Amino acid sequence: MKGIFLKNWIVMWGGLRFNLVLMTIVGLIFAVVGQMNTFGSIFSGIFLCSMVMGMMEYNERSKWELYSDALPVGRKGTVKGFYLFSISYFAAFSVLAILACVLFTAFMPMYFDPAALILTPIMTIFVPTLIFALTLPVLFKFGYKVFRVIFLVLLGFFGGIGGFFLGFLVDDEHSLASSVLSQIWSVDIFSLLPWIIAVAAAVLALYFLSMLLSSKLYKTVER
Amino acid sequence: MKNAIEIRNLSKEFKGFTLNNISLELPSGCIMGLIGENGAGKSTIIKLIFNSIKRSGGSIEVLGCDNLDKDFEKVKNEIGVVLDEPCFPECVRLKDINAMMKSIYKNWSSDEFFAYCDKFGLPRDKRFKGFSKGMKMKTSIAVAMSHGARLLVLDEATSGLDPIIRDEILDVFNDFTRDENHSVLISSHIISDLEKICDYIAFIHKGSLRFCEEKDALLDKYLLIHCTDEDLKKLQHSQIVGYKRSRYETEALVKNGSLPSGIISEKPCIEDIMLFMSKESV
Amino acid sequence: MNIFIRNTSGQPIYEQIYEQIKSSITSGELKVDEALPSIRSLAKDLRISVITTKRAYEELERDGFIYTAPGKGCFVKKQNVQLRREEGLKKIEEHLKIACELAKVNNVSKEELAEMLELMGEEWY
Repeated sequence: MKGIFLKNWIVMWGGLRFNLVLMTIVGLIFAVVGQMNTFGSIFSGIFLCSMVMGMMEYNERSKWELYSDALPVGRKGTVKGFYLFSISYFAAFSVLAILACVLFTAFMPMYFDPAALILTPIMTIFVPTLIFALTLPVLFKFGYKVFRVIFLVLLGFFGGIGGFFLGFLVDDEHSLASSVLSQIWSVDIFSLLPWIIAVAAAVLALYFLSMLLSSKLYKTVER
Repeated sequence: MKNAIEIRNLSKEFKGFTLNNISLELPSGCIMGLIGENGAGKSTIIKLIFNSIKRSGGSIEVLGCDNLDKDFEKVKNEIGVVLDEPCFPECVRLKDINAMMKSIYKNWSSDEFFAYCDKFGLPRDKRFKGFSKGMKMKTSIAVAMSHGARLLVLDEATSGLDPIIRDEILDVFNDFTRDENHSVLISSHIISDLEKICDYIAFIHKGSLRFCEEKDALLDKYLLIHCTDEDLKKLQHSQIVGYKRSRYETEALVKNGSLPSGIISEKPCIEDIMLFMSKESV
Repeated sequence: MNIFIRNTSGQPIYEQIYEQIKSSITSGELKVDEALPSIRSLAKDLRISVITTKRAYEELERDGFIYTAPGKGCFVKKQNVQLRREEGLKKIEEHLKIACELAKVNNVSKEELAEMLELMGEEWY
């Protein structure tokens, strides 16, 4: 497990560093935009998934998967390593996102909103975690090509939700989005905290279960 | 231990192809060549050794460990593998490969790895994408040789390479077996590569094992003859392995034994044996 | 010691090794009790199968040219020169007998045969 975890980081940092830095900057911009508009935070989360997928693309082209059967890592180790790597990547990004947002609101105090500040790291970790929890078993059972299709479909779905929330930017008192959001924002975010923590824990649990499922599925895959 | 690889009654069924009851033994300290036409089942056997595909029947033991055993993952630390396609992500450099394999193999030696890279003339600054096919293959070989392996499994590791590089690479495998605890299983359809250094040859044809023998004993068993059609008819049916008619002569592979006088005979090479055995009917 | 392997000759490789080591021993190039290269290292240096060199060494040992010290390797055995010569003479006699038989069958006279031997001797000695 440790081997694959490190391997993925080495490929990201050693091989794709330029892309990584670039995408991180873009992702952080979206996170910062999220201070003003929730859609930004969600989108940065989706962005993270794309970065990991870029790396998967390299794996796919290199026939690493067949080779890894001959390595002392095991199918379970490969799955665990990959899940661990992904969530560590999301977490690392979230830390950067918080810093970026704090800096941003320090320079632009008019955008300071504790709710948004709390929501940002939550979205940047848990949106991609949730997406991967739902889609990674497809990757391990059916391969990268099928996974990519499913992922894009889900992207559309989340994009749709993002668009839903985007609606509130339009100055239209009667849009559904604005009424939902005004409901949320009228509530004290800190009283919602236990719910938020519960959802976060649920997402983590789902991620863990997804890992177990992927392990089981991957063991049965024949090349 | 006695055998580096022990395969008994191995079989695997696919739609349209069956690997049928294969039994092989690779004694420790030896080099075994696996030959056969494309699609004969050589790569299938290697995939079965690593459990990339599940066998339908039989057993496989590698370095004394059943390959379905939990401990087999640890045993893989002692198996060096080179597959026919280079298998590292294109965006990495040699030092990244070193870092990756270090965290994967228990007995990885960075010094040995870079020594091989230098010996093979591999560029340290280029990304894997920029390597030629020969360089990519050499990288895989450098990796296989740098983690204290006792067994090398090579699947068409020299296909697509020019003769000069192939010669260099065969030297590396030859040297690997100077230690009597080191063994090599090499599958190839370039038989001339195998002819010199192999101790054993196993011939897979359409999913079945035609023979697995000591190379010298094998070559002593047969004769290649050039004769006329009438001469061929004079021979015992059971003596003829296969024949090929051309405009000016008939060529045949026969079992070594007494021949009617006047027939020109010579020692066959392994490729001759394989070609004539593949002919369908006598 | 030099060993030259020819793939194209009809002679099996283990035989070529056998002959060449044997002549190195009988000529004195390899001294008594001198160590021979190990079976494995010889195979690897010549780029041939270990089984081939093993067979050559086994035959050399069987015919009394070398001996094996367990755990140490193979060494040149002291040759009984007189015995070797006698064995050699016997072999020559056998070959000459065959030559005579062939001469008789093909109507080659005793004198012709002697002439052939004379010419051949000049070529070889």
